Amino acid sequence: MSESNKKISLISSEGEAFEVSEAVAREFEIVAHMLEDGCSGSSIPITTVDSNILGKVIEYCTKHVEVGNVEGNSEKAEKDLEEFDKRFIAVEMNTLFSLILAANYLNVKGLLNIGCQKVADTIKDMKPEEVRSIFNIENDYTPAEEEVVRKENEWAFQP
Amino acid sequence: MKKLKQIVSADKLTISRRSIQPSTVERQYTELIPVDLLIDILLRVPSKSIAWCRCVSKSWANILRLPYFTELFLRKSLNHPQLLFNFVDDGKLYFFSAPQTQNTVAYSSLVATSYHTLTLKGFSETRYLLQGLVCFQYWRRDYTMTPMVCNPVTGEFITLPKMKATLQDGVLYYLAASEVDYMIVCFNVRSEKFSYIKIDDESTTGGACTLINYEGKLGGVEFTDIDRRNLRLWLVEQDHAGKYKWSSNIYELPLSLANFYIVGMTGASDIVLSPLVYLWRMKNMKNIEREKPHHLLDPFYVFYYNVERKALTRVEIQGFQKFKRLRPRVYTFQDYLEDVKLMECL
Repeated sequence: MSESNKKISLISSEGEAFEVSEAVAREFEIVAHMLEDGCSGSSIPITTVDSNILGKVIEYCTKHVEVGNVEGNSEKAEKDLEEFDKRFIAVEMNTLFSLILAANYLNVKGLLNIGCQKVADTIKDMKPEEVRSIFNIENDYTPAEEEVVRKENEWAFQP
Repeated sequence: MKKLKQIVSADKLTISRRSIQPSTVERQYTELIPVDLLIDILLRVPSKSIAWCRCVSKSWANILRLPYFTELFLRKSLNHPQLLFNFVDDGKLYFFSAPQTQNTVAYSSLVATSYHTLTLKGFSETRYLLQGLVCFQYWRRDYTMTPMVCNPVTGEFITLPKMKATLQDGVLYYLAASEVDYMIVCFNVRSEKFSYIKIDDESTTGGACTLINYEGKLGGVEFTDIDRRNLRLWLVEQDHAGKYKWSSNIYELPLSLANFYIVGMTGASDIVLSPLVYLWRMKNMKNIEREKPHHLLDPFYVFYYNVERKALTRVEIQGFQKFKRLRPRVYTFQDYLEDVKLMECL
């Protein structure tokens, strides 16, 4: 059996096993490091990521490995991948944050990049109240303090 | 300041998201978003949104104040140098920016981003740009002059106590005139020593010349004629014996750029030309005005002359309509970098 056909099981926080090729598993840098450190086991527990999100991250990595393996016509492939990324990341906020946290933990750089960019694009035209609700942040300014800080940054509120 | 220290020391600081609302069951991911991830996200939003984000919460405001964040933001903007426009009218300083044309990208029309407006009672003259900070001189009503620094992005401005040697590494060059001739004064900031390069009489008319850095060589750009159609670029190089050697080239523009001035030269070998004033063209004078060179002052254009391709590119900058009737003085600067560092932290 050749190296690339080797299968690895990734176990989600619920204990569900996802069987993937070694090439896909290696897209998770954390897994790649484990394999290089001589971890020869064929199942790797990913305890902080649930099945739903792990499934999505695997979908992302599988697509990127597939496209990376296709020879020639790289321009078209790149465009396809861009389209895929765009569709892939068009999810609701909670899923987006979960994907970012998973990508950060598993060290999937491409996914982390498009995830952070998506959040930045979403919040860049938002009012502070909307940003708070997206990030689920408590406003710890007193009304008086808030008035001061808003006044200081008033210019940015004008069109 | 105390708050700042706390955050810097708390390396693994995280911003907690509020606990799950009973009504939104699917909100399982209320985990902690690490600060490094939040910084990664906030580095991708424009400077205007940084101002908004300061209003989100105290902890966000503290993160946006971290030197780690502000340094990264500045470094990131190195890849996207901007043109900075400063309009001065009736004690008000207006600031705008627009992307600077680079090697790979050329624009035909851009909409300027507006920043803070400063109000000063008195007269001011904008002098220099140091990356993200604008240095200007301000005269009070009693004619006392104060040097000031302002950051268009944060809207802060401070009065400089006294001109001190607070400049960056390297050598500062400026043009100086004596009774008989012109020279370039070189001030080495590290050694604090002055030296002089005498300007070759043949190469320059002296005076109204903008010093530039062309591929690491010191030089100057000036108009040679009153119609402002011919540009002279001269360069000075030191030979092995340490003697200065001069060379100059004249470039003829396809049109006359009267009422424009030379801002400088970009790293992409483009000479940047900007209007001196934003002139309003009166409608009933249209036909007469059309023949005159200053029809190029409305709409607002910036020109780039590339000395390698010998090509003149015109970029329209939109967003200055409200200044049309005011005819304010325009100060344009190249290689502006957005700096979100608050001066109160210095």
